[in-house]
Amino acid sequence: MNDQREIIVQLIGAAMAYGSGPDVLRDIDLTLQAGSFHVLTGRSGAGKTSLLKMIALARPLARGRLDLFGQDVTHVRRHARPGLRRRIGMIFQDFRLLDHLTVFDNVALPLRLAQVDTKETEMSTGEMLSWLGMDNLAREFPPVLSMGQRQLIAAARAVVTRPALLLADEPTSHLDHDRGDRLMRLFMELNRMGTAVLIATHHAGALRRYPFRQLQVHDGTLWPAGPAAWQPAERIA
Amino acid sequence: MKRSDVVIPLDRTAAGRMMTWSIAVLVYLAVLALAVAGAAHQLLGAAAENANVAIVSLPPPLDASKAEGDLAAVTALLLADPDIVRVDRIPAAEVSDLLGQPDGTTLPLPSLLELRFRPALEPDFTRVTGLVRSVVPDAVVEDAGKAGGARIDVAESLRLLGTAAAIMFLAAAIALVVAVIRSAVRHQDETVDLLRMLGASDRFLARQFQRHVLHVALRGGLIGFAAAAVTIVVLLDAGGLLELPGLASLTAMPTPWILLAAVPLVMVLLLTAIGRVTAGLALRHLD
Repeated sequence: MNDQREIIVQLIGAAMAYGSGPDVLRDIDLTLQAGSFHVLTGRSGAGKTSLLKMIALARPLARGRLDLFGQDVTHVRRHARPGLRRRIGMIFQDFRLLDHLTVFDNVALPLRLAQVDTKETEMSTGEMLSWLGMDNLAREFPPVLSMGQRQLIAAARAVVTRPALLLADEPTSHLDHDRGDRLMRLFMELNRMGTAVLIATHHAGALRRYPFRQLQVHDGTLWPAGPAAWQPAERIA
Repeated sequence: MKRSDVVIPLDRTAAGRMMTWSIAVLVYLAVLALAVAGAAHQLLGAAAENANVAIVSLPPPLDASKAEGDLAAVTALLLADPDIVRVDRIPAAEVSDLLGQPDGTTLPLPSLLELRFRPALEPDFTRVTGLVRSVVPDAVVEDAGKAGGARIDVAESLRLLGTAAAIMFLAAAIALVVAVIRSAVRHQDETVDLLRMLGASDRFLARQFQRHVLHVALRGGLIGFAAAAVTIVVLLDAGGLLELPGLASLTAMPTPWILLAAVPLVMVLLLTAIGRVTAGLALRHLD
């Protein structure tokens, strides 16, 4: 079948290392198209977070090539990065909320950085908090929230701009079943609207009931995984 | 500034909090130093005006009726001299005050004349003395500018030192801002990294630091200038310095205050620009 959907992420023979250390990722070939939904599994420390960081332009490639939204960004210049990153929503494992800003201001931050007008920012942020059932916490500050609430706020911040690519690092690790399910439905809703989603988790079992394609990071390389495993050489789409 | 606009909480670090007061102290010292330099400059200006002035003292003659005649003859002789542009008689009441004569006493007073030579002329006091003594042999001619010789030396040193100190305090403020901003960028590396991941440009990030410096420098500048202004007024008043020539009208005039107020203003503008540039460079290294 000839799939004509826009290619959002393409990694070709990519490798990544921290400083002058050994490669933590190598020979990574990955293609994510608009509207695709993948779950990235692997043991703790296997390199899932590093792969997300590489795609989000947080870490440079040691070798290989990275294309984002159809352009080669392997050696992208500093001033071009903000524009690319505004099209990516990222949920960090440690949430990374700004404690001096209210819940509302934390969620609204990407919209403000993108200079979306105030009215639209307030409307989108309000809607997002309502969807997650957090609108009563809008004026609270992160330190008074539970871990689960913080994780939901971090997720809301990542998706409030309706990004073309969503990278989520253990997004449901602190959520109970109901809240986790609610967040997954939010991701699926975004995905239906065309967002490419890549979720990294080491609790693959919890996501088994969702019909997502699975990838596994093992020993620094990327493999198909899950019930419908592909051949290693196959490009994953 | 709205709370939501402060994405990087710079006032939460000890260095950030201390910066207001450090800048206030430096502005305070710079304003005082410049005030000293300005006052010294004013004194030197007054001394320069007196440089071409001489005082002719005619002792009271034994025959009091001759006093007016001697005075008129000396005045006419001096006015005829091409080097002298003006001759003024100092009123008797002023002479009495100068000599500290108690009211009601009638002791004979010398007659005093103030001579003003042509500007930029090196007056020949020996020749003028000879001229005056041809009429009144006991007359004395004094160089008015010479009287303040030691004071002029001190004023020149103070003007130099005051200006140098003001420049030094300005340089210290710049060094402080550079150090604090560099340290703040390093300290806030996680926030900076997060904001970059959310799509913030380095220009936006540098503007956060710049705005912080602007607010801190404005607050510090205002506090420092207000404290310095109070100090200057109190010192001038308490020390009786207002009696010095050239300083008498200084505090009442707007120009010196405007010039002094320019110190914090220039500091605020300079520090804000330095803050922006420093943040931009530090952010580049943080990548």
